[in-house]
Amino acid sequence: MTPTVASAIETRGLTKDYGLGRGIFDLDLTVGEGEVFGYLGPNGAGKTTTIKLLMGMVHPTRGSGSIFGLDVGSQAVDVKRLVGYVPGELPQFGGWRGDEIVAYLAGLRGDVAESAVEAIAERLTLDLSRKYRELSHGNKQKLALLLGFMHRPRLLILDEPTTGLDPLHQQVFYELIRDARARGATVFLSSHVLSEVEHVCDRVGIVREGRLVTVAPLEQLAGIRTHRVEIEFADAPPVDGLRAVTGLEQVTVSDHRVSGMLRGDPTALMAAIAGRRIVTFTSREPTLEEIFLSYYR
Amino acid sequence: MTLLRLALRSHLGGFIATTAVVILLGAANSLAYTQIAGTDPAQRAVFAQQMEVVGRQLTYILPVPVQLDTMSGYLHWRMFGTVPLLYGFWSILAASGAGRGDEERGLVETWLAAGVSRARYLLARLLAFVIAVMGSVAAMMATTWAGSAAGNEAIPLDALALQGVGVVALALCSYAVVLVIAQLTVTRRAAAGVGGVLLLALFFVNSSARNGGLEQVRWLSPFWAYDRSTPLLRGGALDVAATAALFGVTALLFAAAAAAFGARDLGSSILRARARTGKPAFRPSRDPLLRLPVLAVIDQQRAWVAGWTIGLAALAAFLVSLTRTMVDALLQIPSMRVYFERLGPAGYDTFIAVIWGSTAMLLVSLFAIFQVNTWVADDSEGRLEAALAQPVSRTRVMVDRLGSLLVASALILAGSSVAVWLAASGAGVTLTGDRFVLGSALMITVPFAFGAVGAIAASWRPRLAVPALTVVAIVSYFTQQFAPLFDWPKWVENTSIYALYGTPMVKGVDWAGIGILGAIATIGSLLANALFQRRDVGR
Repeated sequence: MTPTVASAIETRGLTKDYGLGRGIFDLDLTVGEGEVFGYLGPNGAGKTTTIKLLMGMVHPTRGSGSIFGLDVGSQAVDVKRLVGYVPGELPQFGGWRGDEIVAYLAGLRGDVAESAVEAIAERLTLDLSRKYRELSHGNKQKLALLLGFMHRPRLLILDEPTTGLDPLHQQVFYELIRDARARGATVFLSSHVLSEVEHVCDRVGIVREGRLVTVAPLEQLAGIRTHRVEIEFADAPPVDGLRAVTGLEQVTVSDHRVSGMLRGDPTALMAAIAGRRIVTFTSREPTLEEIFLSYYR
Repeated sequence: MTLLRLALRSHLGGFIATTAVVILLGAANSLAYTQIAGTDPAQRAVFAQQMEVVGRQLTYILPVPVQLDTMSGYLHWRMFGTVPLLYGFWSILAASGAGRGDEERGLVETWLAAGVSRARYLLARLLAFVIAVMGSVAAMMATTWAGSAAGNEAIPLDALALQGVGVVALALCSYAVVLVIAQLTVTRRAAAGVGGVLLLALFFVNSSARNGGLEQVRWLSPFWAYDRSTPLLRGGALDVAATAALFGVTALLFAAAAAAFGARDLGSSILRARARTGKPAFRPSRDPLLRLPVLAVIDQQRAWVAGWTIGLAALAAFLVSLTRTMVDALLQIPSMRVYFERLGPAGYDTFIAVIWGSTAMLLVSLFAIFQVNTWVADDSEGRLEAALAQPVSRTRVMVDRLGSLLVASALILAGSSVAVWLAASGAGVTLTGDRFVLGSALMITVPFAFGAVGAIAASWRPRLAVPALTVVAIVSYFTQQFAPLFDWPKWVENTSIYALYGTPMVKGVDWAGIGILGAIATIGSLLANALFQRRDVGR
C-alpha cells in the first residue's frame, strides 16, 4: 500500500554491502508522515544497517535515501534537526553523570527545552545525577530514550528501543510513542519482537537476510498472527480433517501428537477437533524464523 | 590453559611497548658509554668525577652514582636507575587492567560464569604478567650485554642476570600493589590513578631518603629494596634478603587482593560506599561549558588537562633548577662539551632551551597521542555516533577535536613555560625573553601536527593510529638526542619530526621548518576531515 500522505522516509535501491552476504540490499521503502512503521527481522537481517544508513552513520554502496525530502548523506545535518535517534547499541559514557550527557548532547542540538527533559526523565523515573557506569542496562536504555525524545522530533528512528526495559517502563515507552504520534510525529521502529510491533505499529516491513521481504499494514499481514499449535490426542488424531483446515500448515504427525502453524482464525481448527478427547493443547507465538519459513518460503 | 593464553594476549601491547623502550635504552646506554666517557683511564676519571657531581643533583630520580669510570657502574646508575619507572608504569597498566579493566568490559563475568574461580582468574593474570616481564627483562639484558660487548667492555652475564632478578621482583611487587588498590576502587582509571600516585610516593620516599629525608620509613618502599642490590658494581651483590622480601610482599599482597576480590561484589569496591541519599535529579546539568563548542570537550577532560599542566610545570621547574650544577659539571667532560657545542653556544640558557625544549616536545606529542586514542575510542564506544545523531556536521566534530587539542596543548605549554621562566629566574639564569616566548608559542605546531596526522590515521586505520604515532614520537626524540652525541650525519638528524621545530630559543626560529610543521598540521587536518566525511562510523 502506498501511503496517501507525504513521505517521511524514502529509499530507492538503498544498498550497503559488507560482503559475504551481509548488509542490506536494494531497499525500496516509503514511510508516510505520521505513520508508526515497524521494521521486523531476526538478528543480523540488516535492520541496524538500514537505520545507520538513514542516520548517515554509514555510506551506501549504491542507491539513495531521503528523510522529509532531504538526502540522508549530503543533507545529514538538516535531517538530524528533524530526527530523534535511539541506537541499538548503547554508547559508553563512562564516568559522566546523566545530566552532563544530556547537557552536552542538548548543547550540540541547541533546541532542547529543559522542561521537556525533566518531563520525560520523570516519566521514565530516570535519575540523572548518577554516573553512567553506575546505571543498570535498563536505565542506560532509558537515558537513550530520553536523548531520542527530548527535542520532540518530527521523526523517531528507534533501533530495538525496549531492550532491557522492564514491563512497566515498556508501557511508558508505548505511551511516549502514542504521544509522539498524537502530535503528528512519524516513528520508524526496528524490532525482532513481533508483539512489540503489533502493540504500536500501523504498518510493518519484514526484512530477512538483507532484503525487504514484504511491507503491509498490520491487519493485512494476517500471516504474522500465526501460532504454533501442538495438540496431543487421547486416541488416533483426525489427520485428514486437520490437513484440510484452512490456515493450518506444516502439519506433522507423531503418534497421537499433531503440530502445525495456524494462520488466522482458529474457528476451523476448533471445528475439526470438536468431539475428540484432547490430552494437551498448546498454542504459542512463533519465532520470526518460523513465520518466515511458513509464510515467505 | 586458555585463560592463561588469553591473559598473555592481554599483555601483548604492554610487552611490545615496554620491551621496545628498554631494548632501545639498553643498546643506547651501553653504546653511548664509550662514546661519552672515552676509553683511556684519564678521560674516564674526569668523566666519572663530573658525572658524579651531576648525578648527586639527580638523586631524586636516579640512584647515587658510583664507579662511573666503568661500563657496569654507568649502567647501574643511568640505566638500571631508570628502568624501575618503566616497569612500574607497565605494572600499573597491567594490574589495573587485570583488577578492573576486564571487569569493566564484562570479561570477568564471562569467565566466572564459565566456572573459573576468582582466585584462578587473578592467578592466571599474575602468571601471564610474570612470563611477560621475564621475557621483556631477558630481551633488555641481551641487548645491554651486546651493547657492552660492542664497546669491548662486556658485562658478566651472571651479574646481568642477578640485576634482572631485581627488576622482575620490583615489577611484580608494583603489580601486586596496584592489584590491591584495584580492589579498593571501582574503575580502571581510578585504580591506575591511585596506584600510580601511591607507587610514585613510594619512589619518592626512597629518593628522599637518599638525600637524608624520610629515612625511618624508607623500608616501606619497594624501590629501596631494589636499590639494595648492586650486582653490576665492583664488590657488589644481589641483596638476597631484600629481593626475597620483594617476592614475599608480592605474594602477601596478591593473597590480600585475591581475598578482597573473592569477598566483594563485581563492579564494586571492597570498601562499601554509603547508600545514596537525596532527591533524584531530572534536569540537565547547568554547566555552561558543556554547551560550548571546543570548550565542552575540554570541560570533560578538565582533570586530565590540569594533571598534565601541573605535571609538566613541576618537571620543568625541577629540571631548570638543576641547570647551573649540571652545566658546570658536564662542560668539564670533553665529550659533553663537544655535544653542547654542536647544539649551540655553551651556556645555561642554551642548556635550558635544548634540554627542556626536547623534553617538552616529546611530552606534548604524547599528550596529542593520548587525545588521538580518545578519538579512536569515541568511535568504537559509540560516543561519536551519539554526537553525530545531533544536527552537527562531521567537520564540526573534527574542529572540536583539533580545537580542543590545541587549546589544551596551549594551556599545558603555557603552564610549563611560566614554570621554566620562574625557575630560571630563581636560579639566576637569564633567558632571552622574546626568543623564549616565541619559541614556546611556536611549540604548539608540534602537537597540532601530531593531532592532524593522528586524525588522518584515526579516520583511515584507527587501530594503527596510536602505535604508529608513538613510534614516530619516540624514534624522533632519540634521533634528536643521539645525533649530536654520535656525530650522525645531518640528514639522519633531520629525519626526526622535531628537527622541523629546531631550537628557536638558541639559534632563532627556523621558519622553513616551522612552515613545514604548520603545513603538515593544516594539510593533515584538511585531509583528515575529508577522510572523516567518508568514514563509516563504528566500523
